[in-house]
Amino acid sequence: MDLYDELPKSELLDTLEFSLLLEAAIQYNVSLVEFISLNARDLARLLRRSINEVAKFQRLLILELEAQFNKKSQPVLLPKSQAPELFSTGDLGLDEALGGGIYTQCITEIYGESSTGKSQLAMLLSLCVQLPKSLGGLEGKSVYITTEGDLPTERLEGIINSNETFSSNGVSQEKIFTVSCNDLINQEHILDVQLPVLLDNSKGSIKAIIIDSISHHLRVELQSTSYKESQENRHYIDILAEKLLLLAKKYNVAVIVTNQISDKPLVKLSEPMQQDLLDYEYQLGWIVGWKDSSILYRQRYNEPTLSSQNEITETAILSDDEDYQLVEKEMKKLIKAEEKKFWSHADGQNNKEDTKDSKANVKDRPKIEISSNSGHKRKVDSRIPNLGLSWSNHISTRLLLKKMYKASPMVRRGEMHLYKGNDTSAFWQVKRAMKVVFSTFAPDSEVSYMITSRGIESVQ
Amino acid sequence: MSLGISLSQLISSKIEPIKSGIEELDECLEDGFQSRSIYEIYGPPGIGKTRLGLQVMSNFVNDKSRADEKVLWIETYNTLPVTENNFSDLLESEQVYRVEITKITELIVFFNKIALNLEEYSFKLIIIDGFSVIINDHLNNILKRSETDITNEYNLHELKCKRLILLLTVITKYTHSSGSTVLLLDNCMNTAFNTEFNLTTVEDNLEVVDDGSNFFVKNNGANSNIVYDTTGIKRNVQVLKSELVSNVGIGTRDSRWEVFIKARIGMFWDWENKFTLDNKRFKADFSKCRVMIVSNLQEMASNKDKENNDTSFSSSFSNRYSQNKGQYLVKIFPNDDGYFTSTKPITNGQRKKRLISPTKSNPRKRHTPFIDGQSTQVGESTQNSTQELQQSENSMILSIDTTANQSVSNPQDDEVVYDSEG
Repeated sequence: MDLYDELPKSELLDTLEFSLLLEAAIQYNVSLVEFISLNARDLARLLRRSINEVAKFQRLLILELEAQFNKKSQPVLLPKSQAPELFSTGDLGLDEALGGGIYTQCITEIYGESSTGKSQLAMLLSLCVQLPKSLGGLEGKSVYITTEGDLPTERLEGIINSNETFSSNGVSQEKIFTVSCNDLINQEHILDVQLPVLLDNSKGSIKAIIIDSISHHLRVELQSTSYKESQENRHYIDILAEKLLLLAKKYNVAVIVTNQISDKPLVKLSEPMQQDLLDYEYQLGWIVGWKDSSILYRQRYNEPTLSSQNEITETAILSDDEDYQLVEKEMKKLIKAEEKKFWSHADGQNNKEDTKDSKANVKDRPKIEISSNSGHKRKVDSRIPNLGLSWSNHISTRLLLKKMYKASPMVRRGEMHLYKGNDTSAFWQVKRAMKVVFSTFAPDSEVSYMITSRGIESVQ
Repeated sequence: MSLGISLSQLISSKIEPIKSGIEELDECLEDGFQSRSIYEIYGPPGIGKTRLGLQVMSNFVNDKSRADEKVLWIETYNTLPVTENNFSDLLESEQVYRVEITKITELIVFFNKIALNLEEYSFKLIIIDGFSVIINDHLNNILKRSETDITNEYNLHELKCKRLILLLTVITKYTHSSGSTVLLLDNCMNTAFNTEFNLTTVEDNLEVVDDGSNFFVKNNGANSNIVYDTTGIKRNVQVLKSELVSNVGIGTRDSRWEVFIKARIGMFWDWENKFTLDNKRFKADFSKCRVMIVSNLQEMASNKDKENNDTSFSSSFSNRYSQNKGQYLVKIFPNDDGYFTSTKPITNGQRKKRLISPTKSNPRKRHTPFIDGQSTQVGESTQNSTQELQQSENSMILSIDTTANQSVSNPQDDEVVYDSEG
């Protein structure tokens, strides 16, 4: 019987008189929907209880339903209801990509590989929300729930101190409620009991809840080996997201969660297969924010093609990696030049020295020190956020933080030949970007950013 | 089943359909969303279901002839994302109402209530954002609470159908008595279960794939969905379906409640242009677009038994799925204001293309090859129009073929266009 699920505050739950009736409802799989849609006679037959008892229960139930739902499910005029509010990230570029900033009443997910700056962004947001409204904040406190170790207070202090706006406007760690949970049981208790109590007691002063990260404990605990288990896991994630959303709406707070990644490797099928528009795998890349070439490449990977065409397809599709091509090209130039230099040098020597030596030199092909493998070719994307579609269905904004390698300015200027080492990493430069994979409030876009002492700043 | 509709109501004058603002979608729906009808819109997260709902609402509110009519937004867990930056016109309107409903009983009680008080609660358009979530939660709660193993002893699929029939009946009563339109915005879920085939038991056909995302897949007796990788491990092809179809109560008898739904609109991502893997000339044009698959469920059901061996709509749609009559494909693009339209907004690159080769390429055909002559096809049930439908569909396929041939036979043409972009 789902009376508790539908009407948690029902008095009928504790009424001794109906305990046998409720037990019968469980026994015969009669749910609340039947109680409100069938007449007493049919119900009595289903439950094998007396019609009088059923009718009395039904009458009380309907009264209770009306009492509880009437006020709550009364349509209100949109302008009179509480619209989502937003707070600025403190950075123009990021705000613009996000459609103004981070919104309350919904879930914003930040996902990405480790060391891409997920926690940095989360920490920054726990501070930004404290700013006065005139500066784009919400004058609110924040709750920071960590699942991997404690909140790095030194780093937070550093961000506050190096940012004039924060330090002069009363932004402080004292306005962050922080708690760390070591396991899933602990996390459940915090989300189910402690957080609602805290929000209730704070009387609207809390404006942001940050969970870093949502999937850390879940990933380990929610391993499914049977259909039933996987179904339960799906439901668990639904319930988790719904609980957060109800809190977000009730107290008008922003929920920001970081999410970890798992791998979705490319699988070669023994028989060719063409993907269909409605296939999960065909759509997946767009849901998780892979780059275009990866999406197309993965869609085409198992397609029936001539074997000779396959490789051409690969290079053709993945040819968007311009920087890799650039480095490669410069590298080839360099190797050629080195070779040329060597031979002209050898030729010069030829004139002076014995021809035998130079012949030996010819046989010893010159070893160019820089290896031709320049590294950092951007691979086909295979990272997906944890918790799957059940989770994705509940979030309003998905942000992907990624770290890429771009050709360094030296290569771009075509000055690779000036480089005198043999470390190929000098040809590359780390570039970070935040991708708005999807958002209810903004079109998808991508912004480059840097991690600085002030937190996260966008770059042009 | 009595829907409580008087004959006079049924024959009363036709109410003007509600425009979606997407021209070709409206054509597929016979001029827009019809009154006294329920529509389902579903798609993956981020595709723009909510945005489409808001767009329909915004169109409604800005329609002068509807100035005294009201609309209602029923939200479940996700909030109505109307802010000063996003569909702010709705904030100024005196026609838009909202309400939050998260429980199935609450929804039934609510629709019963508003059906009894039409004076007070007359909404010409009702949008339920996250309808499938209510059903999904309900089924899971039943599963959780039941003391017996419900998947075996009490068929959850039966229960789901019963619940949906009940709910949709309640909603249909309201739409018929008030002449209103209801849009259900639903999530989608992945499943490898093929609802086309009959199954012996559910449990036997299930298999868990642990890809870190905790999804289950269903293992089907019919081999259409099973593929093997090079190591011989069986893998199931997972398909995205509406969460009303692919939830815990998945099964083969969904058509019983689908009769209440006038049309189902699936929204998906796809590439705007076909990729030709001609090895020398391959030049990736990574422009994506949204695709709507409009399924007229009644028409499809009535055509189910008929043989159909038509070719598919596009390169990527329905390679493995037979294409049914009553299904249409519409490509949509957001314009500068974020509204979806079926005509691609002209960008700089586009203009260049036309300037470079105005005579050679045919931009209209290139971008919307599926739509030609579609407006007359939908919904007409006379003998003649069925023939017409057959014909125009054939001609449609023909036009696709010609465009495909064009791009193959005129590689020069393509070359010019791509060069102009670079």
